[in-house]
Order: sequence, then structure tokens, then C-alpha cells
Amino acid sequence: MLVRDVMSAFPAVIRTGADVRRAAELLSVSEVGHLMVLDADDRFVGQLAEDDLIRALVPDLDGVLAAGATMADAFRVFAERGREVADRPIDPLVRREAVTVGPDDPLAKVAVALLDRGMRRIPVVVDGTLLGTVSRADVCRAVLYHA
Amino acid sequence: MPDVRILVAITDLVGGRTAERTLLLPVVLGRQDGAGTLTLPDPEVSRSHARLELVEGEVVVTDLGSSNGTRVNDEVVTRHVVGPTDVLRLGRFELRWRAPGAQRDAVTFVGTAPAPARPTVSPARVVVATAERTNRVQGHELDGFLSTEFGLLPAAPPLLSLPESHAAWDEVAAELPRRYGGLHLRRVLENLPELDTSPDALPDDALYRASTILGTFAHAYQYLTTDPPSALPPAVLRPWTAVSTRLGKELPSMSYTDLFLYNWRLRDPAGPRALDNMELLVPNWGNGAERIFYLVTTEFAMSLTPVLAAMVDAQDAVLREDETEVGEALLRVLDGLRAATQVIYPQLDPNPRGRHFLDQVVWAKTVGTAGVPVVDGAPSPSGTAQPHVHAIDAFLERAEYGSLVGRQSTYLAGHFPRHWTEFVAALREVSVRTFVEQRGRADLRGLYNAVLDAYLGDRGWMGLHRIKAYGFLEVAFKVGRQVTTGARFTGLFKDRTWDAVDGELALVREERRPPVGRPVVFGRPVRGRLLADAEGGGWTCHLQLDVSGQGVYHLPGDRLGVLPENDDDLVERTLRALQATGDELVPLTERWRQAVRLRAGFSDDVDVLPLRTLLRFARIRPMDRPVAKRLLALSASGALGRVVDARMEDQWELWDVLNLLHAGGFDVTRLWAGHVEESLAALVPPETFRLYSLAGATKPGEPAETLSLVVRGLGYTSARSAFSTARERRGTASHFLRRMATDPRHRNKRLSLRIVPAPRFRLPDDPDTPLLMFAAGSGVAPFHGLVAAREERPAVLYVGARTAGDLDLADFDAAAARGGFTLHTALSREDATLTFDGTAHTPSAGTRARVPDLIAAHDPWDLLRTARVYVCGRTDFAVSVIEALKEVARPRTDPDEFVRGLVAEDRLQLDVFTTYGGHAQQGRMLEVSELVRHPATAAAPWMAVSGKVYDMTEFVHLHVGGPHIVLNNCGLDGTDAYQRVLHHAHAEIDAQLGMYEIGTLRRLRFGGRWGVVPTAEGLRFLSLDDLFTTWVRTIYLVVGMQNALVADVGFADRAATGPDDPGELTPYKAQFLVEGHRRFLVSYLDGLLDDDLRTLWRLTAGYCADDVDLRTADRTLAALAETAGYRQVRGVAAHLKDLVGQVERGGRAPSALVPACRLLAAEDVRLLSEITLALRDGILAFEEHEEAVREAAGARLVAAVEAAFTAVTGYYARLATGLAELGIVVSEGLPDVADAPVPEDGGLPGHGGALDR
Repeated sequence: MLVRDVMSAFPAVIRTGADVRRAAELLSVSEVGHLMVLDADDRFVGQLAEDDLIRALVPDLDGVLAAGATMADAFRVFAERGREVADRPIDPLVRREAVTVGPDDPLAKVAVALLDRGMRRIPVVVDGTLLGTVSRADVCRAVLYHA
Repeated sequence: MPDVRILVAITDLVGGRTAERTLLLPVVLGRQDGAGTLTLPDPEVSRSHARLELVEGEVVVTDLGSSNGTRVNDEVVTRHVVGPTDVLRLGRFELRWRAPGAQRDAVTFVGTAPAPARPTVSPARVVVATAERTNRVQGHELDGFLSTEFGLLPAAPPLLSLPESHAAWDEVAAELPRRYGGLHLRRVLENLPELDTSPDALPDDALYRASTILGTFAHAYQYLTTDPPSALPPAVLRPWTAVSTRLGKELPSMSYTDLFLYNWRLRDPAGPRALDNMELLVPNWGNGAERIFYLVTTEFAMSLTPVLAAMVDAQDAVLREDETEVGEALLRVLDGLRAATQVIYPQLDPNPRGRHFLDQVVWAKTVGTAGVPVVDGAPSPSGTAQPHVHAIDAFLERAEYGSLVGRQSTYLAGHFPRHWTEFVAALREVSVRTFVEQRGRADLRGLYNAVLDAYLGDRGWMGLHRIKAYGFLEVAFKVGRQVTTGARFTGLFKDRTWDAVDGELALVREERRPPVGRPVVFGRPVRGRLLADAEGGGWTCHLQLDVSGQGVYHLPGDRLGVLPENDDDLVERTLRALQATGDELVPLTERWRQAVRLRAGFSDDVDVLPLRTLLRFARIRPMDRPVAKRLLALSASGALGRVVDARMEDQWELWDVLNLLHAGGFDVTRLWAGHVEESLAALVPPETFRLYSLAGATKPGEPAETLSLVVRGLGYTSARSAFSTARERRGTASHFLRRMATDPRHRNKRLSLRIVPAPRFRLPDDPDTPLLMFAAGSGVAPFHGLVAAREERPAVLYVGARTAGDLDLADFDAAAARGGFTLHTALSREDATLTFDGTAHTPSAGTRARVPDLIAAHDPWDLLRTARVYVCGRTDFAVSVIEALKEVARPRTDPDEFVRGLVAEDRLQLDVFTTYGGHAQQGRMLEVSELVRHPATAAAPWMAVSGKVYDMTEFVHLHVGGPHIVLNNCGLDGTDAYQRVLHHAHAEIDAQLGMYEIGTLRRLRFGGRWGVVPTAEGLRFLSLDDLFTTWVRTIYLVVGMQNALVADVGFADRAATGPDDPGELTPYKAQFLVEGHRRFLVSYLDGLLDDDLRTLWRLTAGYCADDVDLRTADRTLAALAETAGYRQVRGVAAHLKDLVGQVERGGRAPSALVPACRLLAAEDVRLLSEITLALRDGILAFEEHEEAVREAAGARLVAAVEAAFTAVTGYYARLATGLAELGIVVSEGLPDVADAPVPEDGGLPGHGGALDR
């Protein structure tokens, strides 16, 4: 079985330069964990994961200490950072060296990558053009549902 | 071989007479009488002097290591062809030969043609003979000690003095111990005259003594103070270098010979070379630890001499293809190894009441460092330099030397003298192993494997060494000196460096060869007798197993390991629970493959088993804790989780746990149909050998034909509780043996058996020592053997049984009839007693009694004072007997001291076993907060092992490895240390600990609570369970530090240097307190504060309080570092070292030095106990509130950690004030203790050189 047989052809995408609030909207509407990121010329750039969005909100230790150094401060900072981060561009959060597959790769290869790299979704890319994505759910459906 | 006869003319050169004899070749020429020997009565002729034999048609003479040599035409020869015209001379006899009835120049053969020639004298024997002769001719042993009589030790005892010209060295050597206490030693050595070391001034035969003395000088100079000097004085270094060069060393160094093999003298020159008759040739510190450690090591080497001889005999016998003699020689190797490891080696006794007390703390500070080379790159006299190990390794064909220790071994062997190198190489030339493998004789194989086991096994030499070394290493790393523990121990206390070293020792054992064939004996049941109890359904079974022809040698008191099988009923139940037929094939894991090899009828390459067979061999009753945890991980079953949490899994068996899981929806067929990692073979371990005391004795030196056992049936009902249901349960092994004994279907069954030596349950060496024995139930078993092997000397046995019918009296009737033996029976279910009527013990009227009642009534004090006391039975029986013996002692002496004395004198021998003893929800529940109040310093030290708590008050005095290692692990969880030395795997040791069990650690319930905490990586999820674990780990760490520190400062009150009063804090000892304080700050306290307490603070504050400033701990520590008191305390080590240096250079000891050292030690200990106390309050809060701790006592937890920091602040302030009151003012310029340079790591304590050379 090949990637092209099971991939989702219409992935949720966002363009570089978009702000974080827009990304949050797309994530919430599309109900996926990752947005595919394209540049102004529609070339594939990388991925934006909801984990990374959340992580950007959680203060690190220095952040906690700077904010007053109590746990209450840490929890307050989390909420405040939402307002602060929302208008910033997504660009620093984009994972640019993404692992990709081609449409003619065997599905087993994808399955191993998903597991070993702890990924939930892999972009299908040919020559910088995004053709779709393969998620864990796609693999399960293709291989197990009809088994 | 054909019969070959020659006619020999023997001329007695003294009497002038000539006689002719016909000799059958081969023949031994010697002073002794005997078959195959031509007796030559002359004191100059050795008992077995030479051998004449036919090799390739020629008559060849071989010298057998004679004292005075064999000559052919007046040339000394080792092995030489003797023609008819040659003259052979031995002592005052000349021999010429000719063929009988033929011309003088021809050999005739009587019988068939000669066999193809093959040497019949092993290369090793030739090397020994050559070495003996060369050493004798040269008049010195500089090419290496090697002789049949003295093995690898000097044939001539070490010289007691040097030539008159070198008397100055002798004089200074004699006064070394006196020069330590006041630190005068270096000046004495610096002022030595430089003496001539040329061969004219210092002859060859004086070299070894000079080398030992000069090496001791160099090491004493180097290690007198905790900080080494920059260089050795010329008066020591020059002659030491010269003498080392003459001995063939590339660099001046202390060799194994200098330190051990040539460092002894006999008290009575005519007496034996044994510990009690020896003193050190050149004592250094003159303390007990030095004397015992060196001399026992030396005596150990001496005791291996018969082993070396027997190895050479075995190789000769292999060349002669003489199976009988190979067997006899292997038996001598076995006996020799056992005697050395079980009699000589244990004289290294860390028991303070023992006759040869070796104080581990004194050892670590003084002797333990002595071997670390002074000169960079020089070899060390570590254990791997011991030549015997190399010889035995060669004989047993060790092929691998790749491990760290192995590489060090090879490196050190490169420095051997010529004879040793040749001997070790020669031993590799004949393979006894191949001979044993090819002959296919089970008895030879059994013997060969027994030799391997005695050398490498867990209870053999290497196993015992590793356990003993572990104890010494742990103590040494905790209290050791900077010089040995420098680089490796600049790490923190909790790094447990000694575990890494121990791991290396374990690896080396793996480099030796595995057993030949399967390391197991097969026994066929031949006779069984079942004695059923009159009431209650209990039974006792007397069983005999046929093991003839397999080379099984055992001593009375030894144990038999039996590999049991499960019964059909249990297997069927388990199959039903698995919903399987039993025919399913299960792939085996490596562990299972090893186990199946031990079963009769299975070949070495079995890699699958039918499920039914697997279950027959598996440990499935009762449930093991690790199996329960693995099943829990697979099933995530809440019900099983509760059972495991309550430590109640042992109330279950595999089949009913499977039913429980199935009821909860778990698919049990996964365990045989599913993935291989989930299969039963991966889940359930194979059964292991269960131990039973052997009942019976064999004649010394003869293999056993049958083995006898007394087995008590085990049956009980599991608990009806919230975590288990009431069911009838059976002991696996006892019921297996009962089936084997009584069911005729099993007549031809072959049971897998293994002899397990019990060196601490033995008849005394002195047959006149009376025996006082106590047994109950099947504990009577070993006494059948002890009594049968005993001569007609006083021996009294008290036996507790239910009824007279439980006892098999034949052995006891026979012993009583021989005389000296008395049997007292205490019957608990029968109003009777047994009396001896001259031929047998017969029942007569009496009253029910238990053994302790009889002890009280008989008051056997007189016997108790001199007898060796044996106790065999269940733990509760052993406890009751020891209590009763204390009552006997009480009117006469301190009863506790009396029992401790019995142990120290090796007069109390325990063989204790557990049976089902209730479950974890019974008995006393104990808390961590209570445990930590019982550290080493407590009146009653406690230790936790695998969830159970033991009161170690008495055990401290009984522990074979000495008190330190036990005390180090008190007040905390000692499971790691306990399992490291395999105590958990040795049922007999585990059972002994069981005598002191006082309760179970309560498991707290945290109900899945969790929180968010700050860490260096940001905010993280933390379960309340994990937070509590961090607390417990931290407090155990502090308690462990406290234990170690108390042992360390205890050195101040030990006898460290010969003539000084142990109570006096000499400058020599004071410097160790300074060094201890330095280490306390750097290795203990800094790590604790920067890492453990800081982490504990952050996690606790983060979890418990939203409003606490997380920087508080950092600020407290930063503020502390700014105080003047802090800088004073941090600089005082350097300051005091300066004072010590002044003393060392000849100044007077400042009056403040000693009180300052004492103050440091006292305050360091006090701080750790204050931190413990502070943290304990947090532990108490967890115990009181469990899952509600955050809401109910969050602030208290935070306060508890803060209190620990407050204790540290108080410590610095108090110590600074105290030092100021003593007039000690540290100048601001002195470096912080943590910045002071630490010398390069020289090596390992007791081991000499660094491992990774």
C-alpha cells in the first residue's frame, strides 16, 4: 500500500506571516493537531503544531521567576501571555525541518516514522509542493479497518 | 602400555656394594616405599625423586622436583635419555641399566610392541622441577618462588635481618609504627644514610628483604599525611630504585611479593606457616587491620599450595590417561579450594568480637591505601597480581581478559618473575577440561564442575571475594582517604561509586569458562517413607535419591537444591484459566532456555516448550511480586493493582490471578497466542532450586551414592481479606518431593539436583569440641549427617517433634550405641519422651514439651561454654532457642554479650528456613518516619528490605560481613545493598534476617493526586506519589550520610598506629578528621544543598503553595555564602591542614588543633541529624494526611524543607563561633574548600592501582 492510496488530499494550511490568533482559529475549526505551513509562493515550509502553540504560552523557569516567582504568578503569566502572543506572527513557532514523505513511498515506512519520531501527521511533499498529509488515523483506517 | 622390564645395577657409593634389580617401567626412584617405586634409602634422595620410563623406545629419566637433583654422568638434568652406558646418580646411589637376559645395549620388550610415545610428565611439573633446582643452585629465589612444598611462596623463610652494613634500614623499619602518631616519620626517613645497593654490598639473597623494607619506607613517606608530599627523599628513592631495578622492575614499585608473600616471619620457626604463628616482617602502622589483612592474605596464598600440586598431578594424569588419578587430583583441587575459601579466607573477620578482628574503618584509612603506587605508571600489588589466580585461571582455561579487571590482570602478570610466567604458561599446555569432556564420565564431569563452582560460584572463592570486597569497598568509599578516592569520589555521596567497582568484579567472573555439560546432578527416588500426623493432615517425608556415579561430594551440613515441578492439578487449573489445551508451543526466552537445560531429558537447544510442560516447570505458586507487577502492567486491572499495593500477591496463585483478570475483561489467551513479549515465558520465571538440608553423611573423600532428605509438608490457607480469598494452598517443592517419594509411577524419574555448600554449618575441626544441637520438625535433617560423621565424642541433640513417630531414629540409635551421643526429645502432641535402652530409643511416659522448655529444665551451661552450638529449624524456632540459651546464660553473664561472643567465636551455627508466615496485612505496620529514627547511632537500628522492617540490634553483631555495612544501611531502605550481594537469592540468609522482622512499611494512598511543579526544564506534571518518593529518597540519603559520617569520625577513637593509646587523638588521626570535614562539605553537604534539597524545595513549594516565592531557597543559600562565618568554616580545612603540616615539619602541635577537629566532627554529625529531623516532619505530614496532604498540610511541608535550610545556616554560624572561641581565625585568603585541588586518583582501596590501566 502506498502513501497516495490513503493520504488526505486537503490538509489544513496556513501561510507564513499569519498571526497566532489565526492559527488558533484554524486549529479549533479543523480539529487537527498540525497545520501545514506554506509560503507566499505556495511552497511547503513546515508545520505548526498545537503543542508548540501551548508551549509558547507556558512560562519557563526564568519566566516564572521574573513574573514574581510564585506558582500563582506562573498560572497568571500563562493567561497574560495569550493576549501577548495572539498578535505575533506564527513564524518562530513553525517547525521547518519537517520529516516528509512522497506519494509513492510505502505506507509501512510512514508507520515507522510516525511511531519512532512521535509524530501524529506527516506531510506528503513533492518538489516543495504539498500534496496532502498522512496521519495515524489514516494509517489505521487504511490498514486495520478493512482487515 | 606394554610391560617393559630392565635390569638395573645399583651401587651404594658409601658402602661400595652393588646389587641388581629387575624393574618394571615406568618406575619412580625415591626414598619412599610403595608399589612402582625403587626405594633408595638416603636422606639426600627425595621421597619421589625421579621417574624412569620408556619414551619412543628409549629409557628416559625425569626429575620430579627433587631437593638435590638428578644427575646423568654428573650433569644435573630435568629430563634426559639414559643410555646403557650412562651413569645415573641420585644422592649416594649410582644406577646403570641393561636389558634382562640380552646384550647390554638393547632393550627388550616383554609383552606387546611399545605404544606411540607421549610425554607423561606435564610441562608444569617440568617447570616446577626446574625452578626448584635453579633456585637451589643459585642460592636465592629471585627468579620466582616455585616449589612443590611451598608453592608460590618462598621456600626459605624471609630473612630476619639485612647484612650488618645495612642495619640502619632494619632499625628504622622496626620503629615505623612509633613514628606515625606524632607525624615524625618523614624526618626519620629523610635522615637515613644513603646505603650501597650494589651486589657486593647487598647480596642477592638479601634483595627481597631490602625491597620490602624500602617499598614500605616509600609508601609510608608518601601516605603519612592525607596530602601527599611532592617527592620521595633521595635516601629512600635512590636505593629503592636500585633494588627494584635489580629485581627486574622497570619502575620502583611495591609488588605482591613485597607486600604479602615476603612480608611475614614465623613466631616459632619450627611451627606452621599459619596466622597464629606469624607476624609481619615489616609492620608499617602496627595496627590490627594491617596484621590481619596482610597475614591472612599470605596464609591464603600458602593454603593454595596443595591446589597447585594437585593441578600438576591432574595434568600428569591426563597425559597418562589415568581417569582414576585425574579424579583423585581434581578432588584434591576441590578440597584445597574449599579449605582456603571456607577456613582461611574467613579469618578476615570484621566482627569486633572476633579473634582476628579486622576493623574496616582503620583498614580503609591506612592499609587500604598502602598498595596505591607511589610512582606514576608503576604496577600495583592488587589482588589481580596474585600469582595463584593466574595459575588456577590457566588450569581452568580462562580465555577472556577483556574486562577492566581482566586487562589489569594481564598487565600485572607481565611483571611476574620468570618461574611464575613459565608455570602459568605451562599450565595452559595440558587440557584437563578436554579430557573430562571427552571421557564422558559423569563422575569426572561432576567433579570438574564442582571445582569450577568452588572457584567461581556464588559461594565459591570469587563469589565470596566479591561479597567481602563489596563490604570493604562500601566502607572504604564512605570513609576512605582522599588519595584513594580522589577523582572517582569527587562525585557526590549518592553516586554509589562502589557499586560500579562491584560491577567490574562481577564482569570478571563471567570471563571464566562455563561448566562442562550441564551443571546439575540427576537423582532417582529410591526410597520414600511418609509419616502422616495423627491429626491435622500434616506429614513428614523421608526420601532417598540415587546419585551414584556422578561425582557428588558433600559434607555434613551441606544443602541440596531441588528443582521442583508443579503437580498435574495445578497445571490443569492454570491451563483452564488460560483457556488453553496445553499443546500450544511457547517460544522460550534466554532465561527459560538456561533453565530447561537443567531438566532431565531436554537437550541444550530446546527453544520452544508445549504450554503444559512450561507450566510444569514454571514458578506459578505462590504469585511472585515481579510477575504480579508485569501482569498489572499488561492488564491495567484495578483489582490486581489493589492486591499489589497491599503486597498481598503472595496470597494468590497464577491461575486465580488469571481468573481475576479474565473477570475484569482481560483476554488471557494473549499470554500464549499473542505477541512473544507478552508470552508466559517472558512473564513467568522458571522454578529455581529449593534448598533442603542433606540428612546423611558419606565417608570423607568418597562420592555419595544416595542423598537423604527430610521434608515437612507445607500446606496453609490463604487469607480471607479485602485483597484475597481463603483457599487451600500447597508448598510446591514439598509436595513435589512427596509425589516422587511415594508414587511408584515416578520410580524412574530423574530429579535435577545441586549441592549447595554450607560452610557455616560444619563439624568443628577439633573433634574434641562438644556439640550442642537444636532442631525442630524437618530441621532435624542435617543432624542425621553431623551425628553420623561424628566420632565418639560428647554431642547432645535436642529435637522437637509432634510425635515420636515423626522421627527416623536409626542414625541416632547407632550414634548413642557408639557412645558420647545423647538425644533429648520434646514432643508437642504426645505425652511421651524417648529414652535410650542400650540399643534403641524407645518411648516412655512423659509430658508434652517444646525444646525451649527442655533447655530451661536442663540448664546446659557447662556444655554451652565450650560446645559448638547448632540450630536448625524455622525462624521462630531459632529465635525461641536463642532466647532460651540467653536465659541459661543470664545468671552467669550478660546474655546478649554471651550470644554475640558465640557468634564471634564461630560457635553458633544457624540453618534457618522460613515457611509460610502470614501475609503483609498482618502484624505491625510501620512508617518511614519511624524507620528514620533508627539509624546506625540509634539504640535499636532498623533496616527496611523489600517493604519489611527489621530490628538489626542483634543482627549487627551476627553479620558475617561485620557491623559497618549493616549500620550503613540502617534507618533507611537497604534493599539495593542487600540485593547487590545476592542475599535475597540465598534463602538461608533471607531466613536468618527473618528472625529480626518487626513489621511492614505501610504504603500510603495518594489516590492519583497530581500537581504542576517548576523544574529546570520549565513547568512539569508531578504525581503526589512521585513527590512523596522524592521526599523519602532525600531523607534516606541524609540518614545514609549520617551513618557514613559517624563511622568516619569513629576513626578518631580507633587503634590506628601500634603503640599509641586508641583514645588519644594523635596528630596523625586528627588530620583524618580535617580531611573528613573537607569531604563532608564537598561530597556530602554541597551536593545535598545544591541538588537534592533545592530540588525538594522547588517541587514541594510548587506543588503545595501558590503564593510562596520559589527563589527563597536560592536566596537563603546565597545569603549564607555571604556571611563571615560561612567563609571561616569553608576555609578552616585548609587552615588546619597548615597546622598539621607544621607538626609534620617538627613543630609543636597547637593546642587548638585537637579540640577544633573534635568540634568539626561533632557539628557535622549534628547537622545531618538536624536535617533528618526537619525532613521527618514533612514525612509525618504525608503519613497523617496522605492524599489530602496538600490541602491539610501544604504549609507544613514547605516549612519542613525550610527548616532543613535553617539548620544549615545555624550550623555555619555555630561552627564559626566555636572555632573563634578556640582561637582559630581563618585568614580570608584561604581557598574555599570546594576549590582546593584534589590529587589525581591513585587507585582503588584494597585494589592498589586504578582499574582502567
